[in-house]
Amino acid sequence: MAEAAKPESRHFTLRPGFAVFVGLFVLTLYFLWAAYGAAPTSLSFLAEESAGPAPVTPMAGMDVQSASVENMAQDGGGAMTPDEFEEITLKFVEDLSLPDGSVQPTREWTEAMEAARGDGAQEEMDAAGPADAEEPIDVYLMAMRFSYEPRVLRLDRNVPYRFRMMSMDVNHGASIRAGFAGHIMRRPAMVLTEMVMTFSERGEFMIYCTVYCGAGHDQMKGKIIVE
Amino acid sequence: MTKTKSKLIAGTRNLNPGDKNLLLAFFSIAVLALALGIVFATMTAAGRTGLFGIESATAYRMLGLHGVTIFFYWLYFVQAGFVLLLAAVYTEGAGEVALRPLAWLGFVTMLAGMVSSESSYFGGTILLYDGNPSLLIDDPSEGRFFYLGYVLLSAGLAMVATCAIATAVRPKFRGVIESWTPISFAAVAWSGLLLVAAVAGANAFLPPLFWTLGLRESVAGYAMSWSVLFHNMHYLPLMATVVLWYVLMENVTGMQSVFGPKFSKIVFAIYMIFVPPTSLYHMFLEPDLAEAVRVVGSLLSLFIAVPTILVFVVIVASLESYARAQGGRGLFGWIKLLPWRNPVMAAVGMAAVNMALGGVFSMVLIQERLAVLLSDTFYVPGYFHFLTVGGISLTFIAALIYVIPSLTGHRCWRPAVLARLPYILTIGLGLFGAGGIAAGYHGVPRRIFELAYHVDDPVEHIDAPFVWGTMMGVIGAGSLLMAAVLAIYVYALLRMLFSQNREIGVDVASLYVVSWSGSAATRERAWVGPLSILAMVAAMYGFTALSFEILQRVPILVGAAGH
Amino acid sequence: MKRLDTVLLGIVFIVWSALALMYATVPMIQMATAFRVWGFGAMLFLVLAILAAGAKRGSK
Repeated sequence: MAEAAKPESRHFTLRPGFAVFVGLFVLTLYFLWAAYGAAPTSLSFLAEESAGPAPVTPMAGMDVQSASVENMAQDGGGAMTPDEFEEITLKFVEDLSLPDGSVQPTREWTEAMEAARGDGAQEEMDAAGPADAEEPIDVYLMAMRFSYEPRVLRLDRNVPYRFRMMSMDVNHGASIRAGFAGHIMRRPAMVLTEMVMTFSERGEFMIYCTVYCGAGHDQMKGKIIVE
Repeated sequence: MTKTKSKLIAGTRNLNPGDKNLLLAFFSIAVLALALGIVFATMTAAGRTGLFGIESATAYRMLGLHGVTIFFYWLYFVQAGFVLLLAAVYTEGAGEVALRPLAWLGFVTMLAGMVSSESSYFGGTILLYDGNPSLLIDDPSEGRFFYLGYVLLSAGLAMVATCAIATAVRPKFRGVIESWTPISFAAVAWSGLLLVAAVAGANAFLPPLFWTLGLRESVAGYAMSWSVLFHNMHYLPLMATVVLWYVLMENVTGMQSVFGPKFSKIVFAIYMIFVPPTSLYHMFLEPDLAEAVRVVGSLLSLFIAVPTILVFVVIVASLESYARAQGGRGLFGWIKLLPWRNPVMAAVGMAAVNMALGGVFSMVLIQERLAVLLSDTFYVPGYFHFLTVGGISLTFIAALIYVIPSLTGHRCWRPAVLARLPYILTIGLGLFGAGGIAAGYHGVPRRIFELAYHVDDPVEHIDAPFVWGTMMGVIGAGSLLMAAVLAIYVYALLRMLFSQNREIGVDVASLYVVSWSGSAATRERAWVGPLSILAMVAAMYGFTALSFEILQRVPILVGAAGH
Repeated sequence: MKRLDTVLLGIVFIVWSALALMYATVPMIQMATAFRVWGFGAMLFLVLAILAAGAKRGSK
């Protein structure tokens, strides 16, 4: 070993305690996280409903509150089998297709479907949202090897849409290129996921798969037109 | 000074012929895996950048082979060789590898695993290296040889790790030694983690293997089993790297830790302690993970860099302290005294730089809120190649430059050339990493070969941003530069393995080193290590803040919610 | 130093045991399968700690 200088005669930069201090310095990154509201400043988060959904950080054009209600619905009233999901998605496409092939979701269709279902669970979920929030319009998006259905969605700006999504075969992504960056989303197979999004800017946004799903993975693309 | 008193070289040369053959077997296959991995990487890069036409199915096969060959077989074969070597050479009184027949059985099993995994791609598997079994829903049998390979690898690895532990433990039981040196302690801990990885491998891959063989109905919980193994696979080579930094710096400068052997052991133990609790960040994009788990996962993941930073500070402070005793002056002036002409020194020096860069960008990704911006994008390969190629693989290659000639008795091929390669490799990595990280911020997905996403229908058609293609060009240029440098390294290692030509190259013991043993200026300051960490943490702050800003200030972010 | 080897490996055993127990008993973490891996790891490091303590008396 090195010549054993007595600890008191060492420069402090050569003492183990200082090395540990330097090693732990990286933990100060926490303060930056906290400054951006991305880390708790108290332990209260541990007492909150732990099984709840994770908040999704707001992205370009997406309403902050509505984007934060991503929800796994398989345990609640929104549970749906893949067959049921496929059936309702095909109906969604058939009912709402425009002549150019794009699909334009409407509030009337959403309300009609809810009335037909007598969807108490949905009402319960809606009631949990902000009292003055506009009722979201349902959008169905089915991901399968190697495409989305519908392929083109035509949405309105500043209107909340409840995206109900399911991957029908293997895990897929349903990420959205929004502005400068991508909003990356994983969609596990056979599980209904819901996410309310509001696009606040006109434009065309690409939907693309970001979870490798087989040889045709790089063909999986869809489009959202916000008008 | 040119003659080394290298314990690594002398100890390796003193091993018995049986052990030398065993170690050469591991290192030869490691170099072969590295060579294959580079070929597959080049094909992947060519496909990705459109350098030449390559259909998607083939491109994905190349990507899968690249990951399997490098991340599993190169890294595990080279680790297996080094853990045995360090246990035998650095454990006083060991002298030889214990249970050598078991180690050979481990080698054969691992090799069979490699053949099985690689051959599965020629049988048409569509799996990538992570072996997600749900991709095989149409025909599970396509994955048989893939999983069999990983299971065999795990079994072989367990045998080798057992031998390494036995090698280090035996002198204790014979009463030859009472305690381990820091390096043999590290080898024991490293072997322990290798054994855990082997169990994690069996835990992850046996169920899909049985499923593909028709012996069970389904595979449940693969994502979690994989993530446990995957996390171990992050830590294992990282720990191996810092242990080798210790060994190699001692061998090129004569220095030893000025913090003492006890502290070194404590740092290696900290490595072990931090492995399991820092694993949750791999799951941040899973939509059903509870919020509290995400938050705690992010907090714990902050600790992931602590052990590596500690080792870095210990090594740099020790080097500075010794260099000052040799007359090194100025805040950075002492660095010039290091033997940079030695290819091992140059490689370790640049490995440290690349590890720091990789560390900066990896710490951005552990923040759970940023997963929605960066996970599954090209940011991920953009940052991790700094670690896997620039840090870990470069360190293993540096160690092989010392060890292979010591085992074969052959010469070190053109050290002057080898001493320049780390810098060129870092330039290639810089291009790849900068392009990849920028691409990630732009939302470019990883694992995509046809970035144009062309669709004929005018309604369906939407152009991917033009800049995506530009960034792919930068990434491709960086990839090819990296591949070229690594190919030269492979050629050099092959020469050292097989060429008896004494015209080219030098005796490895004659590589330029400095001999600072016995003296360290412990009363003088050693600020470069801490300042480097300060700069690194500042960069982490910068890129984390940048990421949050991008997340929050996308140009179209104008909505009713007022953000 | 002999004792240090044992103590450090023992600490790894204790921490990993606690984590393995947590993985097995807290479903929220969704890491139940990790219990097997880290439980094995904890036992392994216990064995290593015992082996580290196993040096013969009178050794140097």
